[in-house]
Amino acid sequence: MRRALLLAATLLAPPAVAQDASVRLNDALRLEWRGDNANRRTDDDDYGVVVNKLDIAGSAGDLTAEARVDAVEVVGAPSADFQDDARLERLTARYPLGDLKLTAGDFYRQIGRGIALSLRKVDDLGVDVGLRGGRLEYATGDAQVDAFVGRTNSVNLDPVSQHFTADPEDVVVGASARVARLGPAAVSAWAVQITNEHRPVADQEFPDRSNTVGGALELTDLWEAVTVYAEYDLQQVRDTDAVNRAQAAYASLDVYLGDWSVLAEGLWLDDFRQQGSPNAALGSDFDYNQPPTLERIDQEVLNTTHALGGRLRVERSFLDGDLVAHANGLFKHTDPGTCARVAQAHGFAGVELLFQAGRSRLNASGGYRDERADPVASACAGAVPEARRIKSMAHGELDYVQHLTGRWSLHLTSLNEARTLDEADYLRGSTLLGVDVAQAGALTFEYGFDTQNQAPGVRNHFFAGVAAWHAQSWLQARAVIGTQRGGIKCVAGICRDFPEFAGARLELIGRHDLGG
Amino acid sequence: MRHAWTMGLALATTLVASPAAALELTPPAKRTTVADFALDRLDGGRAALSAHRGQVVVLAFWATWCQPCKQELPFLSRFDAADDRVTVLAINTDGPETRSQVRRLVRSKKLEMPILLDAEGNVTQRLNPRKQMPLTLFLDTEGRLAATKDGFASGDEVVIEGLLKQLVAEAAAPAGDGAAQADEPTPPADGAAKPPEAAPGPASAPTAPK
Repeated sequence: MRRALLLAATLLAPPAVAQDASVRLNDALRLEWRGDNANRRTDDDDYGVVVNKLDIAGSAGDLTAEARVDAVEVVGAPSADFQDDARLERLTARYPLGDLKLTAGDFYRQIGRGIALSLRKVDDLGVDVGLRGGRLEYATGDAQVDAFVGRTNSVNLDPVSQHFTADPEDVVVGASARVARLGPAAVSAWAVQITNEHRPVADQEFPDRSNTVGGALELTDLWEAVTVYAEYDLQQVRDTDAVNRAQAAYASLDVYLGDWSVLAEGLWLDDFRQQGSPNAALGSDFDYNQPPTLERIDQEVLNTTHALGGRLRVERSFLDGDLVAHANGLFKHTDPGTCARVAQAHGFAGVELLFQAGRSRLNASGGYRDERADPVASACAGAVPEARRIKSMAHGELDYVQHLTGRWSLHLTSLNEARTLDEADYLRGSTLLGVDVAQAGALTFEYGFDTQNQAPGVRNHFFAGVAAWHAQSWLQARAVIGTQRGGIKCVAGICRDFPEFAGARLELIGRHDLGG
Repeated sequence: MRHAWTMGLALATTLVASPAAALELTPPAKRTTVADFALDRLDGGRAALSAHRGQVVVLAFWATWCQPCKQELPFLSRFDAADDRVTVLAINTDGPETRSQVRRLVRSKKLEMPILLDAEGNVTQRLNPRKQMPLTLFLDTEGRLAATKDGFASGDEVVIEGLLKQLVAEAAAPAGDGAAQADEPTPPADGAAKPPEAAPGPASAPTAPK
């Protein structure tokens, strides 16, 4: 901890004393007590945890620097997987030299639509993987070039399990170039190499490695009505000394005709994956890419490695954009052309309405999703598995804010799903009803249910109170007391299984500006 | 658990009984400069924060999946269009999986302000490390951070408009009169007009949105 603070202080001292310098602190403190969450496990009950994340951002002249210090203290840890820890989790310095920009330390990098590389932070899932190394960017006019190298650095306190996870330390090297405004076109090209630190087989001759090259073409506002994006990636993978090829393609077409718009997307992933070393918290290998899923952002996605599909969204806006109606259709095969092929279809539609001069809103949507085992008989080595429904889901969502008066409004959010899994039916959902007070906070009551696990002693209904308070312009507090349902939560194709929550949680977020 | 509910009740009482924590401008002498950055624009090219020096700048972090953001953005677009001395830079943080939704949303909501793309999150990490959505930063004409607003609730649009009025008035006031209020329309200061690439808007006082 002392070393971390010293490093941060060393880095930020020059900005702190320079005349045109500024330092901004952003601190998030979480105090949590977890009781018995009634999930029939005892290794995640009856403990307390204090987590503090301090972000420091400073600048002096053209130099900018950021650091983050994470600290965690566990009280009454129920297993050895919990560790007290304090460390300098992120440290970055950036400096421009004319058209060049140098970045040293931790940074995120994403290429194209995330197929070739997507190192970034997905807060909702506690996934935060960056690169610790260096990046050199050159930008002039409409051309940009960059090169980067580093080792992958993940956040070591997993906020889902509260367990400590080690950094994967895989080596990523890459370069990209983009030229924009070639008429309506922009063209990009890139290359990425990932070398895994972890060797699955002790005596393998070479480390696992992937080499990827790709490119994209974007045509923007053709005839002021059409935008096209197309990307292709080609990969060579050396996996435990065996060499394979993989490829991926993605394209989208946006068409606008007056108040109508149509979005069509297509995705093809042919065994394409930027695989990293294993991660204890995820229970799987890291994936350093995040291709488009064609799905809703929170949809559980079966497979982001081997898929072929498309989706269509048609939208019509009314009332000068205050009312938007949309309809969506998706059809996708995962593991296409194989005995394990799964067919997925999803249709949903909804409306988004702003009323009372934008002070109230109503978003409602609903749909049906179906996943079926659909084996390709000719690809099956033995007996052909039966084509059958694996999962289905009818879903409805509502987000309704009714402005009452002045700063007061009523807020109702409800997400409900009727699901089947291997022909077993269950229900899952959450409803939150609260009062929002602008610049003061919110008081919300939450009810959740999940009837999937009917074993004795397992909780199926969940009740919680949530209070958010803008205590000062620099301080916010948020408290949760009660029980909240767990389950699989997904963001953009990354899914994590969250444990049920029972207990109390207080979060304090403070901001301070120093110097100026 | 009974103690927990008691604590919750106490917190709730505090919330209801407390006055709003008024969002006020930081006094000019205590403001810190926001370091320059450049991001790709949705409509092509790059946009740098420093190109808007001399204007009141609003940095609005948003994503297509964020419902409060979608309620706040039309207000910000109107404030942007209502006064040449105010520029809203709407920084989109969507990842690749929802990137295709950004252009569609901007068009359907008829948003006129510049949309900047921070898919990698490096600017977000610096200015909004907790990745709160929405988060709105208010910069004075010197590029200094004057106020930060978390989230959006109905009624916040009045607060935003008030802050913009104060910042515009402050820029027009003689030096040392930073607390001036915007009761009267003030002409744009020299060099304070929007750069050519920004969406042009009619010059008028930052009053009610059009």
